[in-house]
Amino acid sequence: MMTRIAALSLIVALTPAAVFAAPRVDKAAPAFTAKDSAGKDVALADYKGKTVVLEWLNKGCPFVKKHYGAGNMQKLQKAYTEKGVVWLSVVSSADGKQGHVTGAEADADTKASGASPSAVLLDPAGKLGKLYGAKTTPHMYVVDKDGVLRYNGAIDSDSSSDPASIASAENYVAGALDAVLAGKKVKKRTTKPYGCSVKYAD
Amino acid sequence: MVSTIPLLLLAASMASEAALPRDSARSVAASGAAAAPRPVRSAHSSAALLLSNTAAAPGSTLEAALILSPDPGWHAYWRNSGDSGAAPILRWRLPEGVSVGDMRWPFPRRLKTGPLTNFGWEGEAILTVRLTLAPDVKGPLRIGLDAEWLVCQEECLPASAHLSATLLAAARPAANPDWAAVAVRAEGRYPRSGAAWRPESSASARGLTLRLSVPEGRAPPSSAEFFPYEGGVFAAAAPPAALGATLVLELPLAEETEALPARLTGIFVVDGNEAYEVDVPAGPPPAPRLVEALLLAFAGGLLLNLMPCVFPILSLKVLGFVKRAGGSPEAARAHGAAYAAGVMVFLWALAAVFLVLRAQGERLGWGFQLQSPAVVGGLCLLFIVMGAALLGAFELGAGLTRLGGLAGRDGGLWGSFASGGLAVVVATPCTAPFMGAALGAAAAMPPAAALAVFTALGAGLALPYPLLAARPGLLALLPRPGAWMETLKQGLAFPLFGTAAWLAGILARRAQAPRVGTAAWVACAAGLVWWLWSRGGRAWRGAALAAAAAAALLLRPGPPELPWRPFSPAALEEATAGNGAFVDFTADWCVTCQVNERVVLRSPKGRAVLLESGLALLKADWTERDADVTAALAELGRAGVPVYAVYRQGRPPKLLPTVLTPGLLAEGLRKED
Repeated sequence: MMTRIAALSLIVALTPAAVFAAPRVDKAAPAFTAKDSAGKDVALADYKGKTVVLEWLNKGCPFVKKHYGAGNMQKLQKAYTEKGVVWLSVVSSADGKQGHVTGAEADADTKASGASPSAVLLDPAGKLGKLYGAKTTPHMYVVDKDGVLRYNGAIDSDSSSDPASIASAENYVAGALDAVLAGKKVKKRTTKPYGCSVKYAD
Repeated sequence: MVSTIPLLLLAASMASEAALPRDSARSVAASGAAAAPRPVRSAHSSAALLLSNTAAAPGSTLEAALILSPDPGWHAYWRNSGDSGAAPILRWRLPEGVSVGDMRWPFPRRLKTGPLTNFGWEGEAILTVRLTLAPDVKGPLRIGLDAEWLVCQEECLPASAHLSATLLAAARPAANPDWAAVAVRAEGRYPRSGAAWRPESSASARGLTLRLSVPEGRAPPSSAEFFPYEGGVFAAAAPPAALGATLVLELPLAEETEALPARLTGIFVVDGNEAYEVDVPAGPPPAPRLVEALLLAFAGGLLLNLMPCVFPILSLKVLGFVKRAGGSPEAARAHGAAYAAGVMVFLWALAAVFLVLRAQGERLGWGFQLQSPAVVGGLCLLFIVMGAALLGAFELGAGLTRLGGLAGRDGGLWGSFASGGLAVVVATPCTAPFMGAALGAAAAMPPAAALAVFTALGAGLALPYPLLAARPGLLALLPRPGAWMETLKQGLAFPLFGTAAWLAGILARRAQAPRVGTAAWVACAAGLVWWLWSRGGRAWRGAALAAAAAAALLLRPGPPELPWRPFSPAALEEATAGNGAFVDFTADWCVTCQVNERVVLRSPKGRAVLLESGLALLKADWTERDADVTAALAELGRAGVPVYAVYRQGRPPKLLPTVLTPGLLAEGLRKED
């Protein structure tokens, strides 16, 4: 029996999903350092004492377009960065894949879309994406001021790609941020993210 | 075909409303289109809506199909899209008097993109629903469907279509001539009931394990995979199934999953072309199968000989042996057999009581008889009498009371038989390693299998003595008989007095007078010290002082109690939802529990580990019958104490070893497995 269990655990351990570290909510968010669009190092530890949002971004993905096209993502960024929240948009598209951008392109996109992230992090090797188990664009995370992950999942409750669905959807990220900022428990802590797959290198 | 005009009017029309005016039915009719659906193109795919009928009788049902066809190289997603992607979203627009049933989804495939795994279709997917017409429904009915779906290759594109079809409510139903071909293509793509596969789900270290029994007469499949209905709960990538007459599918939870679902729902696909639906309770940890339970029970029985409850009895038996050394080997073997018979008969009696009470609906476990104060009192008395006899206060009579086989003369075979029985009776307060799992399994087994497990336990418990009897060679390893035997015999009285003191303590606590138990311990310790001292000689006096010191150490007020809260299902649920819970399933009469509590849980290290873990500490007291505790034990696959379990949100409960050490405790409480 032990051999069978050992063999099964080995198989489990070797499945591709295992490369995903996928942090769990209410546990410490994994520390990272990544380059932003200006080539500067940004570390999670820099923001101790602040609430941090991680947003996985691929400008070519229709679900990202849904939220940027309708101005929904920009609205969230503006509303919460004004409250002192640090908003990090992360691009994990590998070189040559959809959504891959250089620093200059990222800045131009930010400007063109009227977005206001605190920084855009470039992660073409997918290191940060895999550290967080980012699966889709968008895929959203909220880290509280103590560095504890408080939300992991979809941006909202409607997986439609139709921007008209935004109005009636429950925005999970706004819900999580409001709770974290008020020092309350987040109600929906983990949801299934929806959207395009993150375009990792094969 | 009755007439051309109605047929044209009724023709199911496929239309993109972007392209066609609202009254598309008429315009299709006017254009003279046949019933063939015209697919709507959208983003590297097409969609069509088809009805099984062109006319249907009021009060009857018919089928409607959404046919999604991604272009070659593109794929669309199943109801649970897996790691990424999105399930199609369907909104029906139905006229009054038409209602729609649940969508039937054709089974998907696993599609890998980089490190991600998605569930979807690379070719045509035919999704069907049943439409029901009200009895009073009239006229042509426009069935509308707004569909949104995602098609992906490497990149993803949203697709959508506004589809509609018309149907005539008429006394004479008419089949849609295009339906048959679609029905053939859809045939076998929908999951059927998986009941024949007797699906069983149990908690595993990383999630759930799904076991399927291949139905009789069917060849074992060459592949099997599971697709859960709910997204985000299980890891989308799954390890390969273990194949054979029983299929074993490991379903690891997704890393981010917080709560283990109460039910396992989804489909399994065998041989890549047959799908079956599963909807079963997620289930407790698997009970060991019979063979495993038998082996565990045997090993547990063997180890039981070393536990403090049985060890004095076994020692006495061995002493009896030494005393008879030089006697005939036949007689030794006969005594060995009588002892084994005593063990077996008493254990079977215990098993019989257990099975009868269980049949009457009582939920019991190992040591259940000690939940009765009368039994505890009786045992207490028995140990006092035996201890006194060992000290030589009186000579035990012949027959049944010749317990240790030490009553001079040759000791009758009945004496050996009775001492076997006594070993069983005194063993019950102790739980040896391995026994928990074996007896937990037996508690849920049919009577014959449960009896077999008890028998294996008895075989293990009885084995040492007949083994010694059958192999006179082993006897040579024991010291020669002499005066030391009388001393040892007297010395062994004290463990028995200790057991009696502890049983008295149980009764005292029951009567809310715990100090009476302490007094019994003090009396016992004083007796031991006195006895050692009175033997004279430096060594004995030294031992007496050491015993006095040890007793003072053990009997001084222990470290403060841990901040236990009483166990209840509600308290457990609340604690699990928070930081998790450590549950100590214990009983006053359980020696192993008390030893663990003293030596491990309340030790400075154990205390620190428990308090720093942040877990809520719940004590599930099984000293007296408690249905909630018994039920919680059963859920863990156990039927006795001690059990130490760690409950954390979204993880199956984790069991710690029965015989604990501070190190094992710390390891067991570590957060990540």
